[in-house]
Amino acid sequence: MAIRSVGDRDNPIGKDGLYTFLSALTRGTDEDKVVKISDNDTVALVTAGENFAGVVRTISQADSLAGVQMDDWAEVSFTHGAEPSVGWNYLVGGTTAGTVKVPTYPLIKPVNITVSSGKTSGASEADTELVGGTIIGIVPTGNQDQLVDNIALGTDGSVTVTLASAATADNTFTVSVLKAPAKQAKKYLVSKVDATNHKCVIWLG
Amino acid sequence: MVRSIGNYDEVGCSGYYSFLSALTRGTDENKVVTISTDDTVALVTEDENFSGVVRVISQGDKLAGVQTDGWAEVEYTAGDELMPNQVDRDFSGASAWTNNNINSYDETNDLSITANAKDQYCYLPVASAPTIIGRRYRLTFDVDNLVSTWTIKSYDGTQTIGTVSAGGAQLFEFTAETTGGLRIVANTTTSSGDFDNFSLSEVPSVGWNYLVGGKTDGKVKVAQNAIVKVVSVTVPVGGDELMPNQVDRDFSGASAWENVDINSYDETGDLSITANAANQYCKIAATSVPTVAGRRYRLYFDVANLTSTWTIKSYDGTQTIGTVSQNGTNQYLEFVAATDGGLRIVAGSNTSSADFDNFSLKEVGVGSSEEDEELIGGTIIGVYSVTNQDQLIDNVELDENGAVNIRLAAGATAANYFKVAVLKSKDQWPKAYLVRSVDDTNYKCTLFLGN
Repeated sequence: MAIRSVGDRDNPIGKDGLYTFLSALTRGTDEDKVVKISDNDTVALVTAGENFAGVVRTISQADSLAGVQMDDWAEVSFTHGAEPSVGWNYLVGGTTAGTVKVPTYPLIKPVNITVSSGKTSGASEADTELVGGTIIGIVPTGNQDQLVDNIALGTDGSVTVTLASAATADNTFTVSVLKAPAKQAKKYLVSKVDATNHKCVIWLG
Repeated sequence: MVRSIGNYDEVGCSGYYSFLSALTRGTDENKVVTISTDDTVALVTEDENFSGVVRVISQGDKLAGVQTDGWAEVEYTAGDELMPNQVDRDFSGASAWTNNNINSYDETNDLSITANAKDQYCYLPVASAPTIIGRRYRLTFDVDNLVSTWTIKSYDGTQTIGTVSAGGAQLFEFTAETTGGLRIVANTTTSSGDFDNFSLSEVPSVGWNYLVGGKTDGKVKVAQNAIVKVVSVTVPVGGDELMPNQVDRDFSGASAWENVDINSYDETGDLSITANAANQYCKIAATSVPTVAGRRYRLYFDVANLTSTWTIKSYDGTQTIGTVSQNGTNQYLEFVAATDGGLRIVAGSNTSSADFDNFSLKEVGVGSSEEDEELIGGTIIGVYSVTNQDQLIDNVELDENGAVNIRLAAGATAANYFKVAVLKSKDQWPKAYLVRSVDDTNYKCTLFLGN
């Protein structure tokens, strides 16, 4: 008998159209959940805010291999309150692992910063979503009474605005940060939304 | 029977698409290609988007079978430089590297370090070698005169990146567990070495990556600037000298200045002029003092032995640039040009007299970034100050060579530093590919080309 290639060798993994990956997913529990590539040739359930790769359809008896759908239409669960609409949607991992959601800020995140009266600088809180991002703009929101000398994105994702002189009154700004390429969300076509069961049908490619 | 294209010779293997090409059989198979012209593929070059992987090439080197879907293993190169400061890479100046407790530390031209105790170390801060947790990076550097071994760690010492155990070129690939920075740690009491030419770049990680043509044709790399690139622009206090001829500036020889009707005119060593009627003047043409209407300039000069006043005007007399009313060196008049240049020096009265010298014309309030092919056709979407802004900005423009020019409303008091965000032209945007595995021994990754 001919040796079967990877992807055909272990029923039920090698079903038509599924790609075989290593995994630690649980048979009988994790099927039909959304996964990411977590390590070489390995998939894991997608977690909040992460990009995903496909939908796990079959898991081997030993829970060590997974057959992943990476093309065509796939029904997936979405996080309640962040549901997609029919048409194109940015989608990332949802609040519950293995589900999806519509991210609030898929590419660019605005950050509000106040330089208090009498101070020369103000900073936003640390934000892992912004680590490695790029500042692309700043706009005053209410009052600016001093020139801005510097805007810096810290290694912890916080943004610091430094004025040329101490603020006469509170100076408020919104700084736009383009997220690092690896953290930018991808767009998917949604053909149907089941608001009752929190599921939608997306085009994987 | 007429066979279809894709099935008619050895090129038409199952699942491949046939293209014209000038690729070389036996050499270019398994390299990454781009569609270069109608029905034709060529090896992808740096920063280009690609189309697939060439798998078979005909004996005549005229046809190529290209895989454009499914999983494909491809070679990758280093990405763009991530260490922002050249001095931290090549020690050509004072760097951000800092000695903690290494016994002998010298960063003149290279980083020469000699320990006398284990675990002595020096470090580079996070901002000088930033990484993103979970992404993969390549660190390269050279080591000479190595004694014993050193360990390369993250800035905080929590992640070991690699061990330097032999001299020469070093290359470490690692998945970042911290936000970056470096630490060089002595492994023994005799560790010593000369480190130089550091470089940090991103390489493909499992998961989604923006990928483009790599530094070697036919390979890929991680695109550092997906759709937006931020460039630095410095507006100096004064720009380059715009008066092309030294003799017109310092009267060290026969100049292009010419007397019109000033009573006494002598340009030997300096420009000594004495009028006996108001409005007598001398002049110099626009070719010697060129300006562009609408741009801001400073005209510098020295004045001695002044009597009464002189008025500086444009060559054609239509624009008054300013009045000279006191002696002094390095005086300047700042003006926005209304003509294409040239000057007149006009007597303010019938007693006007002075010795002028050391003329200089500089455009002020303007700074530019370097030309950048990646930005040609792009769109400026933001500008902000870094370090200092002492004037308002009049204009930010992207020129046809991809350089960004900033013009201030007045000459800078001190150097003004800005960052400008440019949205790249759509055809320059890279594509995202899913990578399922990375072979960091052979520098290959397996990516999904599509369905």
